[in-house]
Amino acid sequence: MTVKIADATRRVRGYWYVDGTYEFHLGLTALIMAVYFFLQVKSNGSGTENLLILLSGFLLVSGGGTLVDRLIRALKEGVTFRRTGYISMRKEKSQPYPPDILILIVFLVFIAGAILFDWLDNYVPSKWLPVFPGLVLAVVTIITAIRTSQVRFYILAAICLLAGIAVAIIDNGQWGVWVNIGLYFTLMSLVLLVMGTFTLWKYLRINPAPPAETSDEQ
Amino acid sequence: MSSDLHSLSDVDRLIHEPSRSIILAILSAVEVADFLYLQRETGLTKGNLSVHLSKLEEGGYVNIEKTYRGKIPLTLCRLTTQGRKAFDIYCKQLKQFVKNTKE
Repeated sequence: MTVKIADATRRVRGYWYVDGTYEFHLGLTALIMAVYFFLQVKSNGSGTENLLILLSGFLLVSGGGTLVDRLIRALKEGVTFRRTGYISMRKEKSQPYPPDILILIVFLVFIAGAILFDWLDNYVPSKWLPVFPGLVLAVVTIITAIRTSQVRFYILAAICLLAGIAVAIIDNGQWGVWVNIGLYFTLMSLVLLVMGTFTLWKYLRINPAPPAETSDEQ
Repeated sequence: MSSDLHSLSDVDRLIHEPSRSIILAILSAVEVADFLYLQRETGLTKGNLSVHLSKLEEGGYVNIEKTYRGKIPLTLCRLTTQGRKAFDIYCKQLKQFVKNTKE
């Protein structure tokens, strides 16, 4: 038996991502975000209408998020844990920051956010705004790729950025900010759901269903 | 035997067995893992894995919980605090040995 200890621990970290459920999770969340942004297009009406849209947006994001979480958990339990086993990841304990440092960090993040928002509002044409969520998603996906050693996430990171650029290029300048960003998230949800389906298909092919519902030790 | 190389003779014999060290390496990276996951990752037979887990449980390094997922029996394994400490010490001793041997 030749199993390297370092390989075993690396595979543990990547296990959550082997079945495509991570992409499904992100894809469905992106779809919710897309609907939320398309709802914002309508938010130029009366105060009551704006309030209703704000409320429905909140319900959509919180309710949809909970629903997606439950769906992914059911998929994991019904498909992955039955085939290749169950693990729950260890929560890494990080040292909490002292309160004064924490206040300083929050303040700096707030200032940086305000400067970025002002810069985007004044200097960046609205058609190029989808590039920014694309950039953020690409960075998050690259970090995931490094942590899990899953090569497909590097491809996904490139797609995240390119999709933002593509939406900006095809915009004829008439769409407006919300449609632009809504379109970006719709495109990303499609990409993620297709990628998740392909990963799940590969996983199911390698790991067929167990013959019968038996105890794990029998 | 020089004192530099002596560190290997002090290692915990309960851990210093390939199958058991791999079981502990996996469990050290997770909160909990079930029997099926451990079996797939280690490549051991059910009987072998069961024996190694029992030894680790007797040594106080692993906690084994028998439960159910729906109607299916499920065996969950987790590292105890004592097991985590012992595995950390074991890894340090191995690293020290390798370092001393190469120098």
